[in-house]
Amino acid sequence: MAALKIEPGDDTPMVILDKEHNKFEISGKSMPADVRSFYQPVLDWVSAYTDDPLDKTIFDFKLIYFNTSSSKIFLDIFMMLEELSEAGKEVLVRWHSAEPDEDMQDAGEEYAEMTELQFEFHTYEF
Amino acid sequence: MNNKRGYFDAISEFYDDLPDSEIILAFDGDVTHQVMKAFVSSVEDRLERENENEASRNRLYHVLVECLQNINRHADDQEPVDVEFFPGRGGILLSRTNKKYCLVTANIIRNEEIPELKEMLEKINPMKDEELNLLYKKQLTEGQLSSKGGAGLGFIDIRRKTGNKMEFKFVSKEKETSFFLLNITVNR
Repeated sequence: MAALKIEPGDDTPMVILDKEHNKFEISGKSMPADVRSFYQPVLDWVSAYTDDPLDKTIFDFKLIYFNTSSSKIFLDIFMMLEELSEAGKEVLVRWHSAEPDEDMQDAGEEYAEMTELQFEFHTYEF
Repeated sequence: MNNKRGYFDAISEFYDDLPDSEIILAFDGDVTHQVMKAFVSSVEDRLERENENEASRNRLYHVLVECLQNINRHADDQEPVDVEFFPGRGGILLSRTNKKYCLVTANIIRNEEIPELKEMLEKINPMKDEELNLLYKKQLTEGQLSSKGGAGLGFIDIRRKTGNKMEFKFVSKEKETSFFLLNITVNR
């Protein structure tokens, strides 16, 4: 399955979806002009990946900022990952937030409460 | 009301704290995505230079993005009312005192949109944190992205992140349209 890599823009995140190297990451800022068209390839890729996943998937979310429209898309991604986990595959979401950014940490905790996925929280110095 | 000054007249009538405030940003024009990005990064840079505390900065950033995207998104699904009052035009006034930032926005909406907007804001305003968090999660799970990318989450998130009630007012403009005025406070 071909990797999907999107370079970061000033209002869009970097996306790496690479099954071969077991690297799944969305990082940076997410407030695209058109959230649907930006994320459609991402949702399509994840959807296709769930048909033939690795035994263990580690997905990194390392966001500086995301708007509320993006938060809806992230939930859609988590829902697809949840199906994997229900099908007996191991899925870990690593949620990274900058050291003083409590709102970002809270947002991750909220997703952890809303899904059955295993979340791990990390902080980094910004 | 003189059409050429309409947006700021509406804002100054609505917002009476202005004499005590320092103006950070004042704009009347087409609120495009590019304009939104330019404003948020300009405000962010300035507040960072001034060593504004990180939490206030982040919250103000979030409020600016959500409010300006609301105006921008709103633009596409409307017919122009006239040359002066085109959809997407917004009045934006960001000011501050020692204690708080105030973002006041003015944009034109169709009168038929008022009841839903009013009901939503009146429902959210008195809610406590827990209720807001529940409503946010409910809307996140059950809501659908609109064709313009709206998720119905903006006001809920602004309300819970700022901890402050949103002041709003509808001022009748033409037969079918009104100004929607919104005042959001972010504590420093």
